[in-house]
Amino acid sequence: MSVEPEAEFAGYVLDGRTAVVRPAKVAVRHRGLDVVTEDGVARAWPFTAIRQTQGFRAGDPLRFEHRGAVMETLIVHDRAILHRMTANGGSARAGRRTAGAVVVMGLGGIVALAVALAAVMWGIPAASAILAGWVPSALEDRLGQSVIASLPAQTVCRDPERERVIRGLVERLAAARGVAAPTVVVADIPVINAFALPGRRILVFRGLVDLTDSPEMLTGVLAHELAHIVRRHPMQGVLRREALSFVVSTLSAGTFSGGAAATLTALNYSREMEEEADRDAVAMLKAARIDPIGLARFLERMNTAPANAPASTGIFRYLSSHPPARSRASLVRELAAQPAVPPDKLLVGYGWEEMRELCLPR
Amino acid sequence: MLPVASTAPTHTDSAFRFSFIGRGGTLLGIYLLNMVGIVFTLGVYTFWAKVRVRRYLFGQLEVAEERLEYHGLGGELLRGALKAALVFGLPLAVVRTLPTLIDIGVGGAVVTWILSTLFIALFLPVARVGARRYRLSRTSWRGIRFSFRGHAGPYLRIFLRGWCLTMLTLGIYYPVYAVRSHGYLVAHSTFGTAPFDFDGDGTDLLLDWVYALLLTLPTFGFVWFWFGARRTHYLWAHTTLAGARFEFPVTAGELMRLRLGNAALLLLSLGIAYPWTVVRNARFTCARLSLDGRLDVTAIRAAATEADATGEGILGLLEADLDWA
Repeated sequence: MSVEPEAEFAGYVLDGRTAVVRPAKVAVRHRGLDVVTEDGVARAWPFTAIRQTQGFRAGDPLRFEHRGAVMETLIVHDRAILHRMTANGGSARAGRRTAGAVVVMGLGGIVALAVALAAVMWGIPAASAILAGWVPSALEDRLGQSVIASLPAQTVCRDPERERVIRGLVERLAAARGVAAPTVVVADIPVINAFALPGRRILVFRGLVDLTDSPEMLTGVLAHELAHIVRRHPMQGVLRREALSFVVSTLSAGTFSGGAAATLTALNYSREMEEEADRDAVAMLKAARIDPIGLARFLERMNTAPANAPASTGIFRYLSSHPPARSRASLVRELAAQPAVPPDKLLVGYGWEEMRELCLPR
Repeated sequence: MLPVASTAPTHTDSAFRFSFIGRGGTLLGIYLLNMVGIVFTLGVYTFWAKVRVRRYLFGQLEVAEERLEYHGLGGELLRGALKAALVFGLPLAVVRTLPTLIDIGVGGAVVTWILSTLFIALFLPVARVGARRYRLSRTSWRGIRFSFRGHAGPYLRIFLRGWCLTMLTLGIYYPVYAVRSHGYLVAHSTFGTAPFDFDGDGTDLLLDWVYALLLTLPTFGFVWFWFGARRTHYLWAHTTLAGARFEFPVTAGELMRLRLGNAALLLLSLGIAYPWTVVRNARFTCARLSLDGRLDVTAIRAAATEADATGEGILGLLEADLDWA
């Protein structure tokens, strides 16, 4: 490497001990600066011990820090010193990020992103699945209750006779599975949707009941939701959402809320959970000697129902968080056939058309 | 060696002058790059982004021809934020979420609300003191660091007493509290061995405050530009550094033009002009601020103190971290 002839620049030194400005002459040597202040003190600063902290934009004075026992600062206005420093083995942008550092930072960013994604995709779901088992049932009950309580009072359908019929259906399922029967609440909302809530509760919208044409169809849906409850999916969902919101908002120092990201990942996980629930539901229906084809028929009907339009907005996104209904229906038919169990005919005491009127005012 | 002309600043004026050289366009560039970094790192870069902005703004501020320097590091801010999350964020989150997790009744909910409010009220002054200690310890001029030697206890007492009296007097006491709180922070700050001092007690502003309150409706709120000018002038006029006094002559009209101009810029640009408003504010302050030239800076020696960024982190959690962030 050729070494440029020595050059000298005017500057001044701040010694870090006093606020006195010490005019100085700066000579750029091979691999270092020689700085001589007005009082005759000479300093030899190797390039490796100095760092540029200011002067990265044209017009700004160049500022170099020398880290010794006390941090001294050299200020030079002539930007030609940068060229001289480069020519003599220093970095023109000493102390700034080198290309290598930028690559390391970039790779670090990618690794951080990958770790965060892995945590979101697998870490949080795995942790929430474990933690859900530890949540006290009183707390789960309170969470489910708070969802029901948030519904306007007039939207909860009150029909003791028909409610008893639904309770009978769900008790039959629960007995077959060997678990306590959940509470079913029907809400007068014209949307095809049903939810398994924490605290052994199932919330069914009137839109879904209207879509059914037999007790087997509704029982199929109830079996699916009961399967979610047995597997503690609702609590896992709550924990997963909360954890993701917390992580995203903490990492972004409040810049982003976790809402959007939480919804996106809820979509992924719920597809797996939905399939589990479908499989469990078929097993439960068979054990209760109820025809699982009712669930398949419901899914097929839901797939073509125009009533899905309102379901695509707001929180009522039945299809958005489930795998395609058609493939689910195929799976249910497949499971129902291996081996097929002769079902009992479900009788509810009166016609299903009448049964569906449970939300009509009386 | 060849003879070279000296470029060292020579302070010969009767007063120390301040100037801000920064440009809105450059600051916008920094903000945009920061945004990319923050998104790319899922927010972790926020702390380094803060440092970049502060380093630029401080580096563009000249006092007697010598620029300030900011020495803070992103890693320090990150560690401070993590500590803050542990000692402040976590307990607060527990107290806040308790009523939703267990049935504690209305009385319990009220108690937890009071507890969390008290918790914030106690931590806010602690955070302010900590943040000031950290920021000053990372700021230098002519190679000498600033420092803060105050403590959270006395500042907390001013805070609690101030808010109690403000509530008891239906807000009349507020300017006295605000000035005393500001005065504590100033009077415990130093530049190397040179101490800052504050000799106002805020009672001089009481009458102006009452006038401003009474005239708010008749003047459609414009009276607050007048009060703002009075207050700013008062705060600087009572601030000294090693016996030398600051001056900040400002009129209500000037303050009004600055604020309304900034508001118009933000509105017309849908917020994009924010960096220019920062620059306008800095230039406005520097153009008016001066320090009595009798200050002998050559006699000032370094006397740095240690500080970490936990207070900064807590302020960040309380979202009160608005100045030059």
